Amino acid sequence: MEASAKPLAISLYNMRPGEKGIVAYFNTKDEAIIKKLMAMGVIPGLPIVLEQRFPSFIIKVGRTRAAIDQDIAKTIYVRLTTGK
Amino acid sequence: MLINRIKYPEPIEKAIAEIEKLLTVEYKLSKRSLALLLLQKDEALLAEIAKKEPHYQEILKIIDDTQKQFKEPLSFVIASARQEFALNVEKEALKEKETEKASITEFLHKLTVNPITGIPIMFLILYFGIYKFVGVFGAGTLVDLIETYFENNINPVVNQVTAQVIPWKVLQDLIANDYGIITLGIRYAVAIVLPVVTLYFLMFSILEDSGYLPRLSLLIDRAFKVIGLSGRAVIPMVLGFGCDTMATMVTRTLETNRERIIATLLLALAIPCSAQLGVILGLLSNNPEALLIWAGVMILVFLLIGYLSSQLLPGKKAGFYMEIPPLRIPKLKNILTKTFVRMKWYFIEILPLFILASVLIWIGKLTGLFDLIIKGLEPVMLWIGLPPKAAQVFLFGFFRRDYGAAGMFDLYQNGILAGKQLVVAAVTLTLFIPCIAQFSMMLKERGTKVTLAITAFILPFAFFMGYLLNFLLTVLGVNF
Repeated sequence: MEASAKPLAISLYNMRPGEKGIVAYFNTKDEAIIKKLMAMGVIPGLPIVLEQRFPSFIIKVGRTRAAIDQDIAKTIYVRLTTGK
Repeated sequence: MLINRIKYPEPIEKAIAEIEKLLTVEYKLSKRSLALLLLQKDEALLAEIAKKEPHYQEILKIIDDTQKQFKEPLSFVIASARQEFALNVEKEALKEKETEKASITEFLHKLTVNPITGIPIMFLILYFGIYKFVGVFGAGTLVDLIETYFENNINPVVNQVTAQVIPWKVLQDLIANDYGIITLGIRYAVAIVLPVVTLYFLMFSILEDSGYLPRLSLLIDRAFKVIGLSGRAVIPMVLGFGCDTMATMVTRTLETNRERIIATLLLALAIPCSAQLGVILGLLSNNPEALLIWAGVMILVFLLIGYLSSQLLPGKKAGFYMEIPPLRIPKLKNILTKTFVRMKWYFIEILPLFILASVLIWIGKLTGLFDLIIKGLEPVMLWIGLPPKAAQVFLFGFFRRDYGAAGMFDLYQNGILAGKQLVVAAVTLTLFIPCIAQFSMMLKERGTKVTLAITAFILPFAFFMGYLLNFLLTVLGVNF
């Protein structure tokens, strides 16, 4: 995808609460995880906000809010747009 | 059709066209949809095509070649194209105010997911919603009320009528008297399962409809990971405090088989159902220390066995992901419908098991099998410091968990059980194998092999813990 040509993406796991970005890609070979994320609406190209890191990661993608664990957070890569 | 308007990347469109040509059999879906499903490696459809289509191998090759042209899995590429299309539709159709005001639901959401405020809220909800409402009011007050009604008004009539209609004592016992199908089986189902389960499902539907359950899951996920479960397993675990049988049934919603086995084991071992909980609380409430020891042992066993089984069981660890819907005020009609449908469905599934329990007790008494088992259990009772009479309590505890606890209550009132024996008996009985209904549900959900393995672990483990506790209390000189 052309996403990788733009500013480097960072793992959601390394984002701070309140930071925003665009979902860039999933860094995993596990198709099951990818399918589930996409089923929840976490899809590359959509704006994403990290709302909370503990005890679970809470993200908002488009209008969907979802909770994910650390391992899944590590697989989502985000191009930051605005920091806090 | 709308779906035809999505333009997929060129290699995918080409593959669709080629696969469409190779499909020969008629299906319910359009060939384009089928081709798309195949490109996404839909397992069910692939299996069907393998049987029906002569060009199966060629189709597989097309999928493979198409995949080689992308870095990402094809399902990902396809979903991205759809997403782009959906976004365009949305842009055309939706007008949106730019500023979204922080509403009251947003505020409540923040309160429930922030660990500092969320965890106290969680305890409040579990305490009032589950413990007070379902445990104390349902399993206590309501059960007493309905059971007393049965014992005073229905059972005597059934006993009388049976005695008049059926001349043989043996057959009378099957239907009436202490362990009959109506006087025990139906009575238990109606007087205990029905009120507990109804209130439980009512509470559960309210929590579910309000959107609170996913928030509970996300709060607890990290803690549950330690014992090999994900936040998703909170729901069956909380349900277990209502009725372990229904909770065992609900474990089917968990992701992996590994997680389902761990949850089933923990439910069978360390989660007391509301009926059992009620009796044990009643029994031990005079001794706060005894109650603390019992609860401490249960929590310890829950964590320890969960941790060990998560280390020992092979397989992938469960991941946690969950959509968080907005918080809403539940709609009464939704709640009532859901509660009613679940109750009906559960009741139909559970009633035969209770009738079966009555029949088994009847056979066991008739053939003398019970006497044999009780004789066999008596030395074990002495071993864990209990009077031999407690053996019967354990055997009947299998047919109904709280029946065992209730039997203990009798022993206590007759002065046969005292002091530390009460705690030892309560701990052993809680850990001891689940009631026959839960046992049958385990067989149904997990299969014979897993169920037998779980039972083979729980039986000696429960008595071992009883022995250990009795030993420790004696050595430390603890008495109540």
